[in-house]
Amino acid sequence: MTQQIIQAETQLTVAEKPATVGEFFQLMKPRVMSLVIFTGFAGMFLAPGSMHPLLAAIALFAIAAGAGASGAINQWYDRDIDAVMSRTRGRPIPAGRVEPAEALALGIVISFLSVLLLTMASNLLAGGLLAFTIFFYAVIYTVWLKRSTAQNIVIGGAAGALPPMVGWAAVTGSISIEPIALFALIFVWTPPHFWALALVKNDDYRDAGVPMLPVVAGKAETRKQILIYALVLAPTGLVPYALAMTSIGYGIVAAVMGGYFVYLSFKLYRQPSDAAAWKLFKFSIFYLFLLFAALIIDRVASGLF
Amino acid sequence: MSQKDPKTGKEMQQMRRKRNLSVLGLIFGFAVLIYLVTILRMEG
Repeated sequence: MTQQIIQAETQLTVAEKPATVGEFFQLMKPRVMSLVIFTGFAGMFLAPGSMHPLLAAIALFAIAAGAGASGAINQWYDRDIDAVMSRTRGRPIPAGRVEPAEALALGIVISFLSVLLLTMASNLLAGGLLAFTIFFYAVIYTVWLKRSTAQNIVIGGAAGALPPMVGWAAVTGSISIEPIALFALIFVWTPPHFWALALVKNDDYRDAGVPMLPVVAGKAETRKQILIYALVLAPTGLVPYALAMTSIGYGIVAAVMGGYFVYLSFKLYRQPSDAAAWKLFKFSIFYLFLLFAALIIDRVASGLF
Repeated sequence: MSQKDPKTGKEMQQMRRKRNLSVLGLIFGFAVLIYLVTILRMEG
């Protein structure tokens, strides 16, 4: 594994060809940014109070830019293992298109600018939370947890779960139980989502020396843990309804989707296969998207009727 | 991801120039947004 990493690093040390704008954008993990924009917007939209529409748009842009900046720092630090894994070896740094130092500089500069912009557009709490999110993802997760423990994505999931809380804080200037419920939903969703992926990409993670749960504890234990987390996730999805944040409409969507999540996890547990794990992984993305869409639609509908 | 390779030194220079201008544009964009936020907040 070490030799693979050394070989990969030799290939990627110098970017002989200048990167295109698109490749620079790829550094910021646009798919992760789109999820952050969506969940951050949900946090802002559900929060009581109002904000100037332009300031709200700028605040949302700052949240997305902060997430992208931490993604660039993550790709700078992980360039050795990214070069080994099939899923990530096409990324700009391991592909030799972007210099590692350029990625780090971009990540650090945009991190500072995004925190400054959000603080100015909203308040210090939101800016501070964004700074914490970037620090948590880039340092706590990427540098520390990812390579040292099988619980990496359990604890590291907090970084991905913070955007709705940042969005809520941007509007209200405070934190209450409602944004914590949104945080909890993404936090509990993260492990089964990434473990389903890790079951399929187990060889990649093993070759790169990343201690994902299937690598460290085996696939059977991972399937068991996925089922346990799914059983916790289903009721967690109902918490916004229990807190009277939503109508029964959202409650029904959350119950049905949570039930299907548990069903797919149980099926994976009883009849293990890569196809079943991949199906659960794809469904988990749809699950989170639909629940946050339901939260937004429910709020819009409550204003109409 | 785009894999467009420059074929000549001139093409390479153009790609680099385009990339550098994009970074400049990004920083300038942030500056404009910060200015905009200041104006909006001053208006209350």
